[in-house]
Amino acid sequence: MRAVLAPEELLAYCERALRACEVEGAEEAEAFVLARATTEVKLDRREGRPSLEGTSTSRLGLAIRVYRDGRLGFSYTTDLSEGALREVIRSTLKAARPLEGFRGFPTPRKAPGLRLFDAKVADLTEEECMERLLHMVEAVECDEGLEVSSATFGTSIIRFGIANSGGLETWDEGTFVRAMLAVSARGAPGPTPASAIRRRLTDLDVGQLARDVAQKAKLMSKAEAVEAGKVDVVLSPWALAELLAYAFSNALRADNVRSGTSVLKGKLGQRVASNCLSIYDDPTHQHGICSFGIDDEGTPAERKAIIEGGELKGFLYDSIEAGRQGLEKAGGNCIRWEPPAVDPYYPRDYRFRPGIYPTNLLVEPGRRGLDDLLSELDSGLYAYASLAGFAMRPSGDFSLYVLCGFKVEGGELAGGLKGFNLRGNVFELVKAIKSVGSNLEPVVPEMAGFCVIAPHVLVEGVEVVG
Amino acid sequence: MREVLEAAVEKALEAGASYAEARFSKVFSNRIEVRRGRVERVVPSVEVAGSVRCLVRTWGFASTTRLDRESMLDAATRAAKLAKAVSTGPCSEVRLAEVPSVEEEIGMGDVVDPRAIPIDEKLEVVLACDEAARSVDDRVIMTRLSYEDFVVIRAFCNSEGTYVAEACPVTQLRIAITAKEGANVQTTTGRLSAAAGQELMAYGDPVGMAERLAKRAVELLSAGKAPGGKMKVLVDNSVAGLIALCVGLLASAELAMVPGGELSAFHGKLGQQVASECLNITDDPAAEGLTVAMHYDEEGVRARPVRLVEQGRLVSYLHTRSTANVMGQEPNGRARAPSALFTPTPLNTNTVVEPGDRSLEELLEELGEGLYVIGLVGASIGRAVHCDCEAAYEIRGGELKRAFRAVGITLDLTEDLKKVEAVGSDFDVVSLTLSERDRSYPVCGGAPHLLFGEVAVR
Repeated sequence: MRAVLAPEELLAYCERALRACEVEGAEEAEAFVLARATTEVKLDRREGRPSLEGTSTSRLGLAIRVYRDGRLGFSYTTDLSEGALREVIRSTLKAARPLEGFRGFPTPRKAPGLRLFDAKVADLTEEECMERLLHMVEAVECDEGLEVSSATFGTSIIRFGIANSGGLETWDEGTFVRAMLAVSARGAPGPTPASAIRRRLTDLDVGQLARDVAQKAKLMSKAEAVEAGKVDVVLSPWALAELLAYAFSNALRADNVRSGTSVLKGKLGQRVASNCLSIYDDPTHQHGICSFGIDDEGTPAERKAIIEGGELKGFLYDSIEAGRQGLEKAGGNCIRWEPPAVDPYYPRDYRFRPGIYPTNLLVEPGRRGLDDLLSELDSGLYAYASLAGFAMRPSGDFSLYVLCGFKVEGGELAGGLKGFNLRGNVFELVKAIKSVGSNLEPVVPEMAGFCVIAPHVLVEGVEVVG
Repeated sequence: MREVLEAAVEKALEAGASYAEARFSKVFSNRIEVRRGRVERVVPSVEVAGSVRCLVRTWGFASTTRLDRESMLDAATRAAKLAKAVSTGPCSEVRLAEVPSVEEEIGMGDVVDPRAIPIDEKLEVVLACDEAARSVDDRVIMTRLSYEDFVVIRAFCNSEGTYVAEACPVTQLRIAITAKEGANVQTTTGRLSAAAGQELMAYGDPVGMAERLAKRAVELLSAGKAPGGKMKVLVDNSVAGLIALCVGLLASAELAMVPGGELSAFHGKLGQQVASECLNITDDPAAEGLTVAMHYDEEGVRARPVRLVEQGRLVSYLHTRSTANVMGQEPNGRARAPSALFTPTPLNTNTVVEPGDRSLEELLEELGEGLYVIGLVGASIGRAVHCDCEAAYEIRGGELKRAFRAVGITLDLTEDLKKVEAVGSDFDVVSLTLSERDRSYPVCGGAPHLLFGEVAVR
């Protein structure tokens, strides 16, 4: 197993930081220590020549929050020497800003022992990572006319500890395994991408991933231009996750609701989406990339209803916002992440100031597979892979560039389509969802600090622009 | 630290590597964010990182945030183990272009070290900017100010005897002002950014900039909507600077080696006409007063100015040692990484268009009938570059007429660079951060005004 500090070592760093905060004059303090170890092997084809590279990253960092005289400060460091730590704490106290309604950091509560840690992931050797990478490449390139332009296989281990001056002391850990492929087909406008990330090794079938993307890449070899107009569309989990990741998730934040910038303000209990759509924030989901027993300030994980049968049921809180709004039992959505930085395995990190975000935004699956959805669509488009991190306005207006899509005829994929844009408003799009698929895919959108666990969905009347 | 880096290199060689290098970085930073008079955050931080990269047949790389001798030796062992494991795969052997060995340590020079300035003094300047902008008019409804300063200390050593260490400060302030009247919302943005210390905040006149941006946002409320379609367009330095920056990005050998990619417009274009004959473009990591200051790159190679476009012809790519070898070209020291935690990749630094001989009046006269587009607000960069700009002026008979609000232009980099008809004699810069997943790089584009024969306006 690769070297990631043991829980007791992480908590010892937290304790040391808390003691230093006390000595420097903090009234209350919180320490968060995160260790991560990531190993990746990667193939790239440049000028027709394959090149391979192996990388291994080991990170350990500490974040602190200190409270004194009605002011809260935040800072982080990877220099954990005593002198550096003291210096950072002094700077943080000087930089602390006034905060109204602060009622203290979370008090200790019993958390579910989730620990989605797969020793098989942690123990995977560099050679075994290479075997899987080469297996993917071979599974694609056994098909004449297909070439892998890039491929990655890697694993990551996370372990984090949190302690605060109110007596909370807790930790959690997790494993991640990820594969990515981009496949070029003769005549295709560009490589066809595919990626999958899982918490357990046995949940990631790299052979299946390679066969699926090979099939799609072949269809892209004779890609045609799309016809503009209003069209019924099946969105892949990746495209749906991109659409839900920005304006939609920001509108769920209780601080945005309080400040009036959420378009969902005042709509609790009202219908805001199609009645076939239910969305939960579920930090306990077994396939969730952000499934942990605690959030990033130690509040126990709990599944929350956001939308049920199209009706808005709730918003997202951290402990500070819950305190401000007098809701003692809310919380659990303190997430250490800031846009745009995202680690491809696990987005949250000590470097980021805590904010309110979802953990895993789970779109409740339906009962129909992708083939059934395509049959129901009969004629239309399948939006498979989109450009990540696209611009979306706070109003929810979007223009999503689909770099790899397919036309659907007679309920089957009939051919590839050159890049096109889907336009609309995400709050209207969720009302136009007609059917929800059954197979869930965990996706971390490229510029989001959380996971969206999404199925395929069929949406009526989406504007398509060539 | 030198001794630890050298020991790590030695360890990787002992483990079977034919070449090894070790890097160190330490970044001190302060970030301040103010919105509408409210201090949203003040975050001081310190990040240290170290890494070892080595060759067996191909690269193995290991990085760590713990810089004690034991952790760095462990990184060396991991890097060598990875290199051996991946070398068993079907790959071309990595070869490095030859470069001379050097030993040099470069300090920060004569700057005001941001670490020596109390955070309250920095906050005072940012709040003064905010106050100045909000005092302009009641219709200024939002101000967003982001201040950052860094001191970056880097060191590199390799098994060829090179050891370089370099310290550099960066200070930047971004300002976005939004004015609103009814449903009409106008945003203006401005940025001060340089590889400089706190003196930038003294000579850069940030308060004056905030006030000017607020006045312009209010003025634009009474402006009409610009006409769309293809037309003759003059762009100011901010848009032209972005274009320069994009040319630098496309010149990255890494991107240019991938056919069909979103950013591979320069694939196979060396020696060919990629832009108008009136354009000369250089990437210069040592240009005074710009955002990036880099004497040596992340492979210990001297980073010298590189002419990319000569009279419209692409004459060079930007290289790491391995891409230079693959393409059979001279290495030019553009291996960049956000910190020692990451592997280096070839990337531009400060990419600048050489000024021409036309004054603004002459350019407007030459434009005759068309649009004069000013103030880059944001952009998405791909095969096509979409620029959101603050405003445009209608030009008739070579003279400024009506102002138009929020205008967008789209440039196809493979075609539109060839449509530049005249180059101004002025010069200014735009600084951006290029982000990809968890990597981000400061880059800078500098240019005079540019006159395009035809551009798509939205």
